[in-house]
Amino acid sequence: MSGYQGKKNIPRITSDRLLIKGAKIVNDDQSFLADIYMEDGVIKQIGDNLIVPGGVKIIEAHGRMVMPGGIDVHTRFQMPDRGMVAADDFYQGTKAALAGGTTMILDHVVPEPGVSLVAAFKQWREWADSKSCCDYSLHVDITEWNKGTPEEMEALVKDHGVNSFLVYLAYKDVFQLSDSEIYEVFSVIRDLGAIAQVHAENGDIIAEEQRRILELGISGPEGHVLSRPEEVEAEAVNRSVTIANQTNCPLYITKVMSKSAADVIALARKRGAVVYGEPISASLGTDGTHYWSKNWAKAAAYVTSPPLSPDPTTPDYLNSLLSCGDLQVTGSAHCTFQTSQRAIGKDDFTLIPEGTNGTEERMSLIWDKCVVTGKMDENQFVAVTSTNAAKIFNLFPRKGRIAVGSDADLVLWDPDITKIISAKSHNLAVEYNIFEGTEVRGGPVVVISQGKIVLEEGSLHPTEGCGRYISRKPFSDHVYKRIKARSRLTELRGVPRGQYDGPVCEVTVTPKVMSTVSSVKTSPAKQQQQQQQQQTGPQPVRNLHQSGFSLSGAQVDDNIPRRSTQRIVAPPGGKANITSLG
Amino acid sequence: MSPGRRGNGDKAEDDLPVYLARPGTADPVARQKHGGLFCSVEGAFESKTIDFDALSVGQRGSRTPRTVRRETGPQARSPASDREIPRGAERRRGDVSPRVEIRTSGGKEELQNLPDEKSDRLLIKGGRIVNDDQSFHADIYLEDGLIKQIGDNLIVPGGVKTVEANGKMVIPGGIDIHTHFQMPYRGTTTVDDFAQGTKAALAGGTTMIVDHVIPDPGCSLMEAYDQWRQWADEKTCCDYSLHVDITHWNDSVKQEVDSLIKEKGVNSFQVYMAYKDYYQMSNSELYEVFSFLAERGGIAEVHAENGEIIAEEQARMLQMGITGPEGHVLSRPEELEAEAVFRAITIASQTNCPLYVTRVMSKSAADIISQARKKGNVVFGEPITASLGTDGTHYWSKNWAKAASFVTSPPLSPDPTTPDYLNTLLSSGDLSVTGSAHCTFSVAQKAIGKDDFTQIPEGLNGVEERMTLIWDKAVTTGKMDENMFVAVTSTNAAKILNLYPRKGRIAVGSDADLVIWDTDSIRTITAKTHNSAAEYNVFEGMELRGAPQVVVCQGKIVLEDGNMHIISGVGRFIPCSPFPDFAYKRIKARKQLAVLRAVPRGMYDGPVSEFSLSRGGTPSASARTSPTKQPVRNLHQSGFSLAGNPAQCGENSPHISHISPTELLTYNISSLSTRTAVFTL
Repeated sequence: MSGYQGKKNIPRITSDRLLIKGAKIVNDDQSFLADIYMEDGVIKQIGDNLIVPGGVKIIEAHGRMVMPGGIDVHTRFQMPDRGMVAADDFYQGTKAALAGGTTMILDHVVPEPGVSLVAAFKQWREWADSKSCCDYSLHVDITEWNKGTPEEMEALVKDHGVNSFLVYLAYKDVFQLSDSEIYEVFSVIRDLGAIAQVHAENGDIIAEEQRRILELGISGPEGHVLSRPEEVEAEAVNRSVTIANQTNCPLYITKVMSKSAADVIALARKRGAVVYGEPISASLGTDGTHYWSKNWAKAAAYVTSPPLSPDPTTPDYLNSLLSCGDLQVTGSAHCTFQTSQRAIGKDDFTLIPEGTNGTEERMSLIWDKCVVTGKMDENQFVAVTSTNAAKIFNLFPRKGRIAVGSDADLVLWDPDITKIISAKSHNLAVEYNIFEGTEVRGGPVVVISQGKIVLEEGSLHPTEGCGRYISRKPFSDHVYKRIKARSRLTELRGVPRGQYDGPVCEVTVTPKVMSTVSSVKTSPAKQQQQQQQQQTGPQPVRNLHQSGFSLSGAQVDDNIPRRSTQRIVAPPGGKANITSLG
Repeated sequence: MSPGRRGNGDKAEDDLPVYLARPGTADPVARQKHGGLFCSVEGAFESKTIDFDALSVGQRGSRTPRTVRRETGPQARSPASDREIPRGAERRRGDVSPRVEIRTSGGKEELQNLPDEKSDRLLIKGGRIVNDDQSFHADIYLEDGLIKQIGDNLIVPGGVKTVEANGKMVIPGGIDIHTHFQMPYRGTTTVDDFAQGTKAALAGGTTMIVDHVIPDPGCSLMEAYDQWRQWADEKTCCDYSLHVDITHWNDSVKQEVDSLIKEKGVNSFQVYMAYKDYYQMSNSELYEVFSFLAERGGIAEVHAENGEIIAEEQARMLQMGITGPEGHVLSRPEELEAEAVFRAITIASQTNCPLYVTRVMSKSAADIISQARKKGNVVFGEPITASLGTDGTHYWSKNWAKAASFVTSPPLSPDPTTPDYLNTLLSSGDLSVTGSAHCTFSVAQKAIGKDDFTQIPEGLNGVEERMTLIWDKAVTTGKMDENMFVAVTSTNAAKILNLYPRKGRIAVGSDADLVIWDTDSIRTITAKTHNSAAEYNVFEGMELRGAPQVVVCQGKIVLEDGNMHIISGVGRFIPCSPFPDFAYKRIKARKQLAVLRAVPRGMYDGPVSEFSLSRGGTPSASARTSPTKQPVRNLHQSGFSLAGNPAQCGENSPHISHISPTELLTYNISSLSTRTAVFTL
């Protein structure tokens, strides 16, 4: 690589005109050699022998891969937890992201129950706008469900560019929603054209298990994983898939941590459910054996929910599913706490603040585990680290693709760099790195965010506060094309029948009565069922059998006028009517 | 005949292929074509050749299917038969029972239904005893309601009534593990009370029923149990036992469950995951119930459907204007059943409690169960007569009353391939037992919900049809053999209820509940002739092969030649004891393994952040620059080890701590639950 004037380490690139020469452009569908010219943070031209203005800074790629900058779909920077704040704030976090080749993050807004969603969203915007070094967007977590929530969600979708909401099946009595609430949330989300994300763990069982484990005298971090076995994760995934199918709502499972949960997702996809799975850096890169570390601080550093699986073959398995497309996107769920913060749970693992690092390591880890091992190729790598995320969250093709008109978020990737991950050298504010000592091959040499070089020759020049909020529109094509088609199909019809006019048994209104009436074996209905409808047969009851039945859908008797049914039209941006879709 | 024979072989006696069984007589209309170029001389091969036409239709192919009886028995001429069968016995009493004769040994013809103090001595001669593990020929001598002797050439007292089975199958009486007779429903009662219901059961070859006690939420379990006992003791015609449904959960219920197990002979308790705001239990309650039952040796039964989603769906259906019975199935899609089954299995596996899923109605639910069994969970699935025999297309019947008569929960699946699929899983052992969930309402009662499907009382018939239906769907189609048939209709249920071998087996000392099974009888199910009081039969018009010819209950003949001789109130309550081996052997072994140990660590003595326990409030300023960075760093130096043998951990010997994770986790992969595995060593 050479700068325009042959100088290196220019602290700020004054010009935002940039030419990458001789690059192998890697998109999710193909790779090809071409030059890229960008200006004002947007890719302006792609091709050979581009005509560019003078005074442009040129990067010689020498045939190395240039790929769309990574999108980390799941971060929790600066997350408040019981009066504390996650150690990595938006500056530190996005800086680490950029260092790892990630040029956009999607953070989670976690409103405390009782706080308005919009207010929380604005709070997060404020934090991020002042500190973020790369573009970002926000998911909003639904931590409680009441009358006003649907309106707030609608406001977020329509006015604030949010198209994904996360619900919790865990954290009983704090964030957890009941099945009926989730059904309602999903219905609203579907009508709004957003994506339903779930934190999938059965909170009820966890609460019971936690109590039991504490009773057994297990108070260390191993209790965390013991009280949250992977079955409980798989169960919750299965349940949310069921509810999502029921409501015809697209589903996105955050933090796929175990084989069984991934299996449930893969199975659901085979059955045709619109569901996406997000393994995170931690589940792809390490396992849960560390919870048994004798070093409490180290063991506590791995505490996250769902926990890392103690089965050491899990990462490999998840990488395989990621490669074959059963899992689609990768996040980091980056949410770090200092050891002193973790230590509030030193006598009770349930109090340990949860979260692991991973935003910086994500791309390199996946390259090392999947591409180097031959599980996936470079195009699939781009898909799982960037393009799929952009598609699902409706950022495509602005993000996630190298094309004319796309944002100039690029990474010049060197597949041969090797690096040993260590807390000594990472860009985070915490003492532990859960990937400590892992040697990874592949890493970014140059990172361009918003058309500016932010990483070059190992030196990072992020600009605090330059990250823009990227608003996302609802009804992402990647997700909603299928949903729309299905909602048109699943029209339900009643069966047109004559009024039943036979005898009706008297009932007590309150069913709580235990008294027994004498056996009604000789029901009067048998004799009196005369004028059922048109037919008259020798035996009044018998002739009821003669009528046929019909399934809903195209039937021979479709010409017969039916009971008024609801015609289903789902306009993009649709009506907020829970019942309008099948 | 060798006792271990299975499969096709053991049908040799009474289910012989046509060409062996009845040479020459199988084809009343012999060859169709005569005189063609390649045809032989007319009649040349009659009585000599294999009758392919007959074979292609079925074993008994070309006879008219309605034939109830055949003029001669196959065994009589079967070359494989090693038993001398009195031929004269066959041609008596024209119509119904050609091959079973009942007589007293004294030679006096004595009708068994006459009052006769000796009638509880009974000898069944020449039967082929079919247990779940083997079939063999032997005579059975019954006395005082027990099987006293089994074998050839038994020495029996004089004046014993003898039943000539003529090589027919003698099977243990069926156990219908799920009935709701005389169930109160909103001030009315199901039309089949214990007398009517058990009569129907006996007519179908079922000699024991297990009914569900359903206490109203808030009411005492014990009172409800006593109430059910009283009803049943007055009326039942066969032995019975009771499940108790747990419809709410608190400490006093816990006490009652405990004493029901210890004193009252109940070992199975059902919880509901459906019926929101009524019977439904939360996940935490399920967890507690399951833990408690696991401790006390009970079986946890679940009605598996996600009640919360159903409530939402029901509201949606009604809002859309769907009020008929089709709304019932539309609001309860099979996914919701499968989801609840999955959840129940997860909780049961967490609590190490044996699980029994009542009413498996759909493919997906059955799949979840069979998957769980493959993973090693202790779970039993109970398909019911209705799910094995019919499907949910009838919900769309234009006849409201007919459609309503199919209403049950979980609903019958609208997928018409479901019954076949469930029969296959039943045959392969993935589903274990069969019940009927017999719970019948009259049309007038169903009409409570004529304008709102959610009000339709739920339940359908099946106690009478159960055995015949399974025989027809699973045995005649070759999915299962007669031994498996005995297992799923009787033996497995007895094992789960801890009644084995008193029930569910033909052995010396077992109860004299027997059925002589006629594999060839064909009858058409219809509400006109059934023994239930309901106006509709969900199997209406089905033609089923196989039926009981003689039913012996408590050592007395209650059904012969289509005549029933039942006495209301003779049924005894059979107490079930806890910790059935069938389920609990494995549970106990796992319990010993699944001991959790904490990791011995020194106290953490580093700095601790301040925090507020109440989740809420605004975040404090960024804690980025925590002072802990330096002192904590050196913590990296210590190694880690999995909890294993504490002694080894204590030694901290490097090779052990290095090896153990792998070993432990190999376990983890192959074996059952994470918890068990990681902590085994």
